Amino acid sequence: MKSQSMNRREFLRLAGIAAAAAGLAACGAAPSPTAAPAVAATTAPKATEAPKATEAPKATEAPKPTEAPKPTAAPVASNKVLNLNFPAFYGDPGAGSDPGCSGGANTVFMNQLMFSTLVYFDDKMVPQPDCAESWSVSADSTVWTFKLRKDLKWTDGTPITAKDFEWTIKRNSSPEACSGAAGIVYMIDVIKGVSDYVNKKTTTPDGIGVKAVDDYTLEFTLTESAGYFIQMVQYNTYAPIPRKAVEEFGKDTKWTRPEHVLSNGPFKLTEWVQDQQMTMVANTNWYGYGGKPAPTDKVVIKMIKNEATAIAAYETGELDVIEVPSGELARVTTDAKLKDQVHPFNELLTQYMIIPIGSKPFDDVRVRQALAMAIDRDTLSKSVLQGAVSPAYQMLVPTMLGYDAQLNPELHYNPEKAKQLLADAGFPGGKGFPMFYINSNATDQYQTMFEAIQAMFKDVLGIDMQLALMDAGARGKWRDEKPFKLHLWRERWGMDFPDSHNTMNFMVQARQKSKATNETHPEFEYKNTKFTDLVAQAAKEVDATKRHELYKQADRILTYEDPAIIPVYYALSNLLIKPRVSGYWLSGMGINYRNVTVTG
Amino acid sequence: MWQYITRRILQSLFTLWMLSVITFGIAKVTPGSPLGLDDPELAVKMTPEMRQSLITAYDLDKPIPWQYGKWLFNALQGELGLSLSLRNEHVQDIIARNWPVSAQLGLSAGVLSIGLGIFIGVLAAVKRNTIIDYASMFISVVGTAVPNFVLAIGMILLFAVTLHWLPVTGWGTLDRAIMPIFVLMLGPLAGIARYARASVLEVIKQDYVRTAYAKGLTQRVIIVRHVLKNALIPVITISGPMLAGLLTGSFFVETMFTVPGIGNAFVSSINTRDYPMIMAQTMLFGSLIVFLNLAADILYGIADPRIRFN
Repeated sequence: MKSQSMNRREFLRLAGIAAAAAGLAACGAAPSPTAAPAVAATTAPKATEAPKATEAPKATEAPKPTEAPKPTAAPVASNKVLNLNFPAFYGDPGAGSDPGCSGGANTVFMNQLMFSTLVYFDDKMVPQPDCAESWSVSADSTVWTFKLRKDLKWTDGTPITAKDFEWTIKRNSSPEACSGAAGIVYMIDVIKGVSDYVNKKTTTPDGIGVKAVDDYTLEFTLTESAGYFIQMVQYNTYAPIPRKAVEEFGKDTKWTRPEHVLSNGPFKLTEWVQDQQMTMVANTNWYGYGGKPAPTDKVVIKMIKNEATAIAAYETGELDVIEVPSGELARVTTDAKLKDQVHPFNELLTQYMIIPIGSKPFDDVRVRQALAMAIDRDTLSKSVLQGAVSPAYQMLVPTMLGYDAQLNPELHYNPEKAKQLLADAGFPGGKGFPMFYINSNATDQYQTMFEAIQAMFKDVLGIDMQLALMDAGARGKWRDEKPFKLHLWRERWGMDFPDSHNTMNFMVQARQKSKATNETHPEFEYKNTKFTDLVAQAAKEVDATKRHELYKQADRILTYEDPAIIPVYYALSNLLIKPRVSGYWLSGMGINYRNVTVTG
Repeated sequence: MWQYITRRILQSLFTLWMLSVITFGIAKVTPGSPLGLDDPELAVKMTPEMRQSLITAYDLDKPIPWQYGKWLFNALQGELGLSLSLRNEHVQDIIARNWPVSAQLGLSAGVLSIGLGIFIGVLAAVKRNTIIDYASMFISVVGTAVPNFVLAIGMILLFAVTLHWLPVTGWGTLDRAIMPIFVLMLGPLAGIARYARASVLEVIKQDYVRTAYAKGLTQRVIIVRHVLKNALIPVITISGPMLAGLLTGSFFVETMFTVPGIGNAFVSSINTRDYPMIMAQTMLFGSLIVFLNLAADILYGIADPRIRFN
């Protein structure tokens, strides 16, 4: 769901293509190069755990997760308009905004304003009742039952029942509705029967494990024990969709346009001027307002792609919230007026390098460990990348199960040990080490970062290597070329839903199921069955403490004991927020506007 | 004359056909896929059935000449294909919606830069070596030398952030159009002013101009009626391609000022290997160039009757 991750946006695009392929609209995407605003993020750098997160420019005064849920009646102000920017909106009004169809940045962004799902995450990333008042789970955690609120309504005032949720899940799973987008992103293929339906092995949605037991009871039957399921149901594919509107205006996602759309969240869409702006007004039928006046009357969303323009618009007061462009970070954090308006937070995103463990000399664990500990991540984060990131010594991100700041002390910068390991592996002082590359996308940031890493490898290990920076398409070709050119492959993973299962399962799949693409890359194949078993075990486990331990063990294998990847950094995000805005909170999911209040 | 025009149109069609072949070929040969199939993260998320159905749906498994033939066949009937990545829309719809905005912006900037450019150039030539000349040429040098992103940021800082006279972004009202039009206009204006000045200086030395002065005509009449006609030929020559460039949208000015034009889509489509968009926009640009060059050639004959088309 996270917009901030490249793969997310990429996915979005893919989903868009999928929809187009089927001649249906929708899950469109915006391949905008700008990072999308805020979506995934971890809670204000918990100074205790997030290593160094606090050292990000002025992270010290932890972005106060402002008073969470508490929709107080707002002061009567004539100017309760919140001005936001979302650079990635692109193109046709409607395209890509169907909450059932994709995890694209624009979808996630719109949906948190327009829709309520079963639960939402508070500032501590704990699921809180939203449409569901309460929930229970069977002993083996394969059957989840949600009790819905009785006062749920669409924006037109008609009631919402469990049947709407049931229909929604089945509709989102349909290979036609979203071209299987929901299935691809495996958001809901944890639910029984979805996978078969998406892949057209069954022709009706009857076998799907979702059922409205009565008007206010919704039951999910899963394919396997999934302790992480509650973390998934806040995702936008679980937001109820108005059957009436979809059936009447479903083609080309016309139902999502302002004139047809029905939603059930804090705001309703009233205007969408293509490529320019979108307007939402408070949805008086939203249960969260409890019949009281909304604290914010209107949200205006601009679509400014250029970062310099966006920050100028913030300074003129045309925008209330923007993401700080990385190039402006230094200025903004020292500007007397702006520095108090900067709110940094950790994103759920890990930047890492995949090691070609199938090729010599990288098949030697000592070589892999030496490379990992020859990188001075503190310098990299603070000086080279100027505080835009925080160091990562494992795959899993802060605040997620399995994250432990003490997990891999060995991986912290240790030139002596690194030299020793490399010498033990037969390359004293780097002598005889074969030439290799780092393959990465060609952006300024990557270039800067990898030039620094290149210098560290040279200084510490005496290894010569080269950078192979190119665009995404060319990277694919490079990787497939024979014979294999020895290289570390840069990758980043932004979590789709905030549970370590999402990351670790990907680590397993990316290595085991790569044949699904008919392209095998034996050089990167990871055959550690202990790792695979731990991940599988953790997925089934319901007890959070036990899962935490299992993921820790798995991550230690993945990044230290038998490393397949070298973690480099966690992404940080910085928002500029005007003092007139309050009631939002920053969490692992980015900024939450659920109870946002603006003063004139 | 008509024979000439007919021949030129036929040549133009051939040029455009070659352009389409070359563009299609280059786009297909460039590594990468619009479907993100090269991305290992995506590859994992996509089932093999899914992948295959996408490849089939877009004919990516067919030979390139076959794909080209299909594209050409459809394009001739006005069907430019579905955009692969941007919005799941037909390319002709995207162009119909966004291009008018770029054209409006480009045409405003074009007309202003041609008009003002000629005016400034002529003025500078007539008042040669005076303060007016120096001032005009200073503007011209600045317009040529300052990149439009510097100009755009400078204008935003001055007129929006500091003075609060103009809004930073948007489109549709005059106050929002001022900055993008000005930024887009200045470069071409500078070029035209220099051409116009040089060319007027050339013509003004001619015998017939001296004769006109001798006849006792006023300077205004001489310049407007006699000098300009000859002096405008080089200006017309550069105006054609310049106008084509302006009309097809500026990626930079459009993103900078949030103008919902087509320039943006063009750049994105190349990065995402969105073949139908690449083709459509290249052909649009190519057609404009060809058409405006033809228009310029015809205008020569009107500006200078000595030029004959045989």
